[in-house]
Amino acid sequence: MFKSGSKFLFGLAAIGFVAAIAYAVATSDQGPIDSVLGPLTLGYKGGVGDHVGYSILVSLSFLSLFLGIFLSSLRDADPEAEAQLVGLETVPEAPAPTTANYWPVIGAFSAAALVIGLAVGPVMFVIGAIGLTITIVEWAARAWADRATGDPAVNDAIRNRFMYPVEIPGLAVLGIAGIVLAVSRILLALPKIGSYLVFGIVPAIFLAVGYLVIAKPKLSQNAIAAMLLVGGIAILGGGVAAAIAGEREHGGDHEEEHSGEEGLAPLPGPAELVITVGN
Amino acid sequence: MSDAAALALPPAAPPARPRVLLVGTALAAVATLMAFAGVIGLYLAERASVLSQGGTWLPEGTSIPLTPGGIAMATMLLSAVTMWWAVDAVGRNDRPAAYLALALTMMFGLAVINAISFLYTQMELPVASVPGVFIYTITGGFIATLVAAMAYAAVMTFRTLGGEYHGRDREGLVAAALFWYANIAVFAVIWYAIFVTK
Amino acid sequence: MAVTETPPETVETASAAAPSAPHPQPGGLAAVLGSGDHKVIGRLYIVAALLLGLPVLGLGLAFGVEGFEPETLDVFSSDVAYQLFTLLRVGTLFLLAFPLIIGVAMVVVPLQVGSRSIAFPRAAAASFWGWFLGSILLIASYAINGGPGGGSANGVNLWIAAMGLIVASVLLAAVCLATTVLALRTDGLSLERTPLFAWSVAIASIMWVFTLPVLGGMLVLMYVDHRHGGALALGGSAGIYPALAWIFRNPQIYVLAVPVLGFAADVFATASGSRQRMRGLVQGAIGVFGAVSFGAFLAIPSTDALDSLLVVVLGIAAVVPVLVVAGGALDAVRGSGSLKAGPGVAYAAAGILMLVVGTLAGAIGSIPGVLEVPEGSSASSNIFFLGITHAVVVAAVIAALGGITWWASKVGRGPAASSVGLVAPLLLLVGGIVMTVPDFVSGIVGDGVETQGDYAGGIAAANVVVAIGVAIVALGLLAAAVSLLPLLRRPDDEVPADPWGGQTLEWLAPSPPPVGNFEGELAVVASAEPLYDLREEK
Repeated sequence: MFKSGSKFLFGLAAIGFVAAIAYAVATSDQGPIDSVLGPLTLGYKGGVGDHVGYSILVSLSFLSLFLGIFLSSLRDADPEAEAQLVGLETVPEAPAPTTANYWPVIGAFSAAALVIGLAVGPVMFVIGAIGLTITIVEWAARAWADRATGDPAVNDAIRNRFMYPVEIPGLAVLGIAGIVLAVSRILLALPKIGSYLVFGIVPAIFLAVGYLVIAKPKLSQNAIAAMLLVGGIAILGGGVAAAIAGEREHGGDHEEEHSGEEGLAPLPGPAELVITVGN
Repeated sequence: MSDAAALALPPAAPPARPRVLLVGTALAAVATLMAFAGVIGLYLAERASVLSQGGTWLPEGTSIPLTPGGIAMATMLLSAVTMWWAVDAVGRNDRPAAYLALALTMMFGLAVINAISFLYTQMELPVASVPGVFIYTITGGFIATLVAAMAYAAVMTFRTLGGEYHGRDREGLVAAALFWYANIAVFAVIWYAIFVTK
Repeated sequence: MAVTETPPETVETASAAAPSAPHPQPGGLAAVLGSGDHKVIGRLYIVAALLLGLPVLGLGLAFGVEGFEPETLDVFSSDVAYQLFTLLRVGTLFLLAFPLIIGVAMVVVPLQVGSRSIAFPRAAAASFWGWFLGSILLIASYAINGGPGGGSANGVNLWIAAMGLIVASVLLAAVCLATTVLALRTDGLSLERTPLFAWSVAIASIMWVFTLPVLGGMLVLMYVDHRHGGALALGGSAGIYPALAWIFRNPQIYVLAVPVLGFAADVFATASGSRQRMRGLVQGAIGVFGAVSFGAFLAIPSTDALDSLLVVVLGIAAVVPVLVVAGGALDAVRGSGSLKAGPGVAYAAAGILMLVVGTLAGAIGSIPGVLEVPEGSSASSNIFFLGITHAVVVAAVIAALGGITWWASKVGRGPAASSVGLVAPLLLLVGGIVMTVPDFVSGIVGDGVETQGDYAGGIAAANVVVAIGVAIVALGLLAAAVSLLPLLRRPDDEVPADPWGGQTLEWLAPSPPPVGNFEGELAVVASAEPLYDLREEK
């Protein structure tokens, strides 16, 4: 009746349930009746001993039971059952992806930026959050378009028809905003004469890049990949550098940099540490 | 290419392998629930430890009013109905009803986030306290997973709008609904463990 | 919208229309960064795990030397030793063992279940890149004086968040792998007939899905706490490592080693040239081993919890399925009366023997009163548990390297070098035993607890043996790396699809497998050994 996958999950549910009771009884400091009644009633009558272990074991039991019922309702997702579902004699195959898709990498870089942002400050966090949002939208559009028809070229055209009106202005806004922000930071940091130089060099670079885009409007896949990699590494590298440097001091007296932030947990000196192995 | 060929519709997409998204989503939902199980277990342990020593759990001057939490719970329950309605409507190829139901579900999701945010302003609970760390972590984590569930539902709405899901194949929406219901289960535990028992 | 509203029809309709020319396959950097091919992603995992994980083992060797004679031979200054010790422990698990196992599984599992792709291929790619960048950030956090015990608040925050990214990525990989086995099997391949390695990966992945989120949740809690003053003991930088220690001890550490059983069972059945007679039992044993490896309930345990009957029972129970699988392997050999010995078999034997050592030690350590617990220490702070972790990690690494060797023509471009390949598992097994047994002895008869800041816990003489063991393991890894070098170059002769007379579907795929894995349609599977069926038909 039940197949291997469901059997495993039902077994896990049983083990989890018995373990939850045994664990609660073993860690309870109540009388024998209460220490058994407690775990059986989810703590409603009597105690459950160590709440952490008990909660986790009960969750294991319930969730593996749910997963077991779910899987057995799908007949363990057996190919024959799936073929029947779509009215075919053989189950449809999952095709291998054949085109390059950079959204997983961009998503991962965005997640890494988010991680750095959690440590360093809001700028990287916002960059990561924006990157992740864009990734989700683009990924969803791509996944949908890939299943629109049986012709990959038509699917590409459909995706572009939907996404270009959003992507092109969006990319332009992000590009301009990024450049303005970056140049403004550089100008702030430079002396007067340096600012004049930057003011001359930046438009020249723009002109050169614009010419390159017109001369070679379609970039190779490898060039796109390389640009993504360099851009991603630059963003993360900048974030880690910011973590090393700490918060920049603005104006006023220049205080000595401190590694900890205000309000954080007091950090113990290494000599005070007690090393416990295994737990 | 002849005119006839140029005007021909492209071939339909081959049928997708069924159950893949559903199984993956079920595993993701289980992972989400286990993450909350661990943190809520720690919350209960810490709270029980403080109370057993005769202390009070919430700092003085802090209170968790029941009304916003209760409204959020009721809203989550309503969203369960609208999510079910969306799945059912797609099954009947009733697209306008499906879109309406999905829009309502999203709105309920936003309303829950709003209710929890309002609760934050009412609690006056400092983060830098043991209950504060737990309560903000758990409820903040819930908001994050609710946003993920809303994004998932939005993606599936988009794909339904694009024609991928319909009466004979509504797996994407069922998967989104599964993850949504997992969120409701999480919130039910949070509501009872934090908002009701305090 | 008319086009997009064309509902998916039957295969007949779809195949009748001629789609336009397929996209050209990307090459170079684009093929690496943009690939959704499970083999490419698996290879990336393997290479990155070896690049990131092997220096971590070098750190292990340095710690072995540190334990010799701490007063005269200080490898690490006391202000960084604790941080590096945590890097060693976290690194062996999350920078070496987990990704190595995942890498092999990503390459092999879709092939074994007869699928042309892994489930959610783009998510699998995202899991690799997330893990890789998370690992780089984890190492970077140590470089800026972060990590457990670190002095930089930014660094500690970065460590916690990077660990979160690593855990999320491993979870994503687990979901992809489990879904592949559960929902992407080819026609006729029920779960009962699923190759044992694929089955073990599914069990391991499900157990990761049940346990790693608990770690993830704790990391979020730690981050919030550390960021906002450290009201909880978890959030202080010194409190982080002890709060995560449950992932390094038994039974939780066993979740890493579930695929060791599947690998050994698969290899012995194929090398013996017979159908697995005890297949149902072995499959059940792998499931039981997965189930008893659930150790998340020991997150922040009380002393009562560690001495509880449940921990004792789980500790002892874990040995049984390992012995059943070992027995199944022996039975397969006995049943056929022959064994095609080679590096794959040597790795399989070494892996399962190392796991027997680890689980036996776990069983002994679980018996109350066996381990000395000095006053003021918790039961599992005994150095004995360090030995268990190392034994299980070495078993997992042996199995992963064995997997790369056994499926070399699928993972790489050609077969591995057999002579060096035979030496590597032997060195790894011997090194693993030499490295771990002294810790078991120290745990039982020595001072027991690794509490000193100079890492001289255990018996001083035993620590010398441990260092020698680490050196032998390092030699074994070097030998394995040398034996795997041929995988990188294209051999002159055509590589056979099935060099071992295999039983399962991966051996039907050409070597190396193309995108889409199989040429032509696969026949409906009628038993757990479809290739035997094919040969018998002929």
